[in-house]
Amino acid sequence: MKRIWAIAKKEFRRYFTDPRMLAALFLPGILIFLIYTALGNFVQGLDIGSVEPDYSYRIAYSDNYGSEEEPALLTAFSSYLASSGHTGESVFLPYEPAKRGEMLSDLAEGELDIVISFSEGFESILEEGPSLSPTRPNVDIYYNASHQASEQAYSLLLSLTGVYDAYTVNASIENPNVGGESFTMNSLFSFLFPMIVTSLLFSSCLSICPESIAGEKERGTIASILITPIRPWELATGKIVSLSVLAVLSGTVSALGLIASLPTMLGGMSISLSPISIAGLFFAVVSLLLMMVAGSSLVSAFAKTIKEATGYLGPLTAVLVILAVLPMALDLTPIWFAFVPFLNVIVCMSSVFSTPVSILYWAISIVESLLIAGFFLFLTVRLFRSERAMFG
Amino acid sequence: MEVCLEAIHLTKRFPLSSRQARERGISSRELTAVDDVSFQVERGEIYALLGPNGAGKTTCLRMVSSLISPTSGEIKIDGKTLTKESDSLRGKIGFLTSELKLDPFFSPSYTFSFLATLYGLSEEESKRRKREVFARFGIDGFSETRIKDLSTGMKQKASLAMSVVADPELIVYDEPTNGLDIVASRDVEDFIREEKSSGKAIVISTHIFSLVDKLADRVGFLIDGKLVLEESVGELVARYGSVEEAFFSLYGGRK
Ligand SMILES: Nc1ncnc2c1ncn2[C@@H]1O[C@H](COP(=O)(O)OP(=O)(O)O)[C@@H](O)[C@H]1O
Ligand SMILES: [Mg+2]
Repeated sequence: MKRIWAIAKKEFRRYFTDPRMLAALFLPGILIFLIYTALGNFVQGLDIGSVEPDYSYRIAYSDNYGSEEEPALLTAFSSYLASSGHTGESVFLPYEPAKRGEMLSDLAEGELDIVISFSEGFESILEEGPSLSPTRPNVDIYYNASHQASEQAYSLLLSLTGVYDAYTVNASIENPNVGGESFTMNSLFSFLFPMIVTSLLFSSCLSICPESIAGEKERGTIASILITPIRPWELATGKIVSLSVLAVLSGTVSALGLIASLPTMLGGMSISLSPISIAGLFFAVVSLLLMMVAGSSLVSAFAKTIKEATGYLGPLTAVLVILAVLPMALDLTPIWFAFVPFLNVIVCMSSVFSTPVSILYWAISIVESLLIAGFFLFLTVRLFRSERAMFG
Repeated sequence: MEVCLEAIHLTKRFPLSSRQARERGISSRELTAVDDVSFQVERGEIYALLGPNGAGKTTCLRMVSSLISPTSGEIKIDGKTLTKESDSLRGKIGFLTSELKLDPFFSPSYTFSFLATLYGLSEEESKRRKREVFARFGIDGFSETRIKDLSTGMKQKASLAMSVVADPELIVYDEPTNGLDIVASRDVEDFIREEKSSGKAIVISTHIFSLVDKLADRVGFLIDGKLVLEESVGELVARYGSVEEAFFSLYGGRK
């Protein structure tokens, strides 16, 4: 134990007394702050966050509603807007149910903001009061997420229908969105976060592990350690533990940089993370980190020189970053992807900001990553024991 | 005299990659660097392995200091088998070789304390030993300077100091005067003599004949991995005039 601690302490001393090493540890955090702040300013410039107060919402509704009067839902919509300071008059357009297809294509093209379709028999609510029959009438509300106004009108309508128990909403449609995916802060984070975490963590591994393991081999200092009564597993453990702590420190500085840049980044928009999501992110980041440190240590113990080690690990950075944006392009949420190392943790991190994955998915991903880290540690100890690897 | 080190039928074969084999112009995928070498070193004795470059001296001494293990054969220190008890026996060996370097980023003082911990010395023992050894080598003046900022002579002193952190009973020095100027070489020779007189068993390797003449009690000629002759230095000098004359009149034609 004393020897493991001595090895770890030497590592800390090395990093904290050398300005070059300190920079390698903490520069990524400073960079992330600068990059995110710049990105935040850029995103704010896009002005995706608001609908002008004099905007006129155009809402089409099917005329089988059962009354000559405007549907109560729409009356509530107008009065809510008026009370919240919106000055634009909304336009409500009744249409024959047969023309729903036409209306939906108008919605997709942005001619309309909302299309409402009442089910047959909806009027009975007005005539007979809330029905007690098991089949309640339904109203479908379509919107177009690629238009900010449509999305806002939709969420307002949903919250207004929420108070009724008399009918169902969107029970007969799978996807009320006729447009493309909406561009929100969460969707931006769902691919930015894994990508930036991956590249930052791996680059801190890259600046730490080859230097402290292959470097010791290259400089011939590892022999002066191995001729003492230390056991190879003590040496490997001391190294990996201290390198992990250093990488965590470096990662924490990165996280601080991220948090510091959030206000600019988010601007008017909000990003909502529950404490459970934050805990999940923490576990994902730590298991990813341990896997990366143990893996880079293994490669560094195998390589004869720092150059050789970074030669193997450097190109891997690009591969990992590309893999990290894969959840953008592919649906990796089916459970069997939880067994694909690295990608599974990426999906978990991404899922916090987009479609959630199951607890089982999380558990498999994190346990698997820790097992892989342990396996890498085991192989590293083997290499420290091998005279071919150490003095080949 | 009491035997400290026994090397018994030591053989070391290195596996070669096909490229290494091609570069050496041999068809076999194996290289026998040390071939059935046996010798003993007593306490208070200096034993020299003498041979040309590539003879297998470094490989021999690496096995003796347990950095690598023999393909076959056995090493005993104070009667205990090195491969079986290497963790505890390593504490009794002080090893110095040119490939074994001190970390350039740390000071001699820190390096000494670090190694002392690895050797299992207590904080107090470590401090006492450091005072003693640093005084012997005159390191106090630069004990807090990073190794990389030291001169070659200072580095050599620091390396010698680190080789005796745990006050070893067996001292194994591979080409101890290589690359040193005459003053530094003389320092090393003096230190080896001192250790001898304090009862340590000492093995050195060298390709410098005069060093054997000056320092060693006994010498083994190592050629192509084989120990071809083992003799007391006094005997050789009496018979041939010097170790160099003995070597060339006996083996001059071979290499
Ligand atoms: N790790 C190794 N792998 C392959 N060959 C080696 C290795 N170490 C030494 N050798 C070879 O073994 C022979 C003896 O080397 P060495 O013991 O260094 O000789 P010396 O120290 O007498 O100059 C040389 O031919 C050398 O190239
Ligand atoms: Mg040599």
